[in-house]
Amino acid sequence: MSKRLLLADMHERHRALTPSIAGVYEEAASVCLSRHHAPPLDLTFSDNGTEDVGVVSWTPPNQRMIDAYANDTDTTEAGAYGCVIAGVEELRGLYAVRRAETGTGADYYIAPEGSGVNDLEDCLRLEVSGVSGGDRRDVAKRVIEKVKQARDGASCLPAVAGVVGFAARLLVLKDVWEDP
Amino acid sequence: VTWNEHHTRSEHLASEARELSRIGDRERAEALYAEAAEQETAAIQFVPEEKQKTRGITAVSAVALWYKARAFSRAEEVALAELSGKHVPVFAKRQLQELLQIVWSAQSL
Repeated sequence: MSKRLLLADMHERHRALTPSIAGVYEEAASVCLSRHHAPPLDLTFSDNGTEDVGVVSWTPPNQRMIDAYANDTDTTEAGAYGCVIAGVEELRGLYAVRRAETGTGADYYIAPEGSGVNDLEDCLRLEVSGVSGGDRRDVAKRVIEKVKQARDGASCLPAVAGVVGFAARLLVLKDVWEDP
Repeated sequence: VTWNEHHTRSEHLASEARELSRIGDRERAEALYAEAAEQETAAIQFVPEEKQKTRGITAVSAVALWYKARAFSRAEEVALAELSGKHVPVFAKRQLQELLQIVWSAQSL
């Protein structure tokens, strides 16, 4: 079965997303995708270098939504959260179980379905980034930056770096292994 | 009361705080971050010793939330208490040390 990026109702599957947060991520993703494309769109999924083509659908934003999401940086960030969280669900069967609180920023902890209720022993850290314009090379560059950032950071928990290229129609997941 | 109950309350409060912070209501955001930090700090006590990853993530979250509440002394206190424990996982030790540096920099301003 071909891959699908499911952006709708993510709060029903990801316990770290409330309905309002999931709604913002879905709307932001629709604005980001509509900057460059019309739905439905063929999207390349790359998981540790293995590529597969799938599809993403969304409702094109109306003018009110476009105005509400006029800040490109914030919208790209929120849209990336939506797409990458939906991507780890589709490619890895992992779900966002809580937001990672840090001093300077935040990403998510992800875990298999049913985990994260009584403890966080099965979780991985998810590092997210989004690239609005550019092509595959720009997305690849961002992946390298995110992997380096994850390796250099304070946490040595196993992590997954996830980057979506909205214009490049490419979603990349890359493992960042635990320090020896 | 369990780790999950405290932790879930903390997440909801932190989520509200982030929203208030986003719209520029810093004062109410900091008050809610403090409530979230209180819940996350309470959650630490309910983590069994063998669940080191859970304890580490919870402790780092608690310190980060105290920092976001601008309660620097509480952030320092929780971080130092965790770092003095016997079973701090390496990832949590590094993150707590980094957070302490951030807290001390903020305190010196």
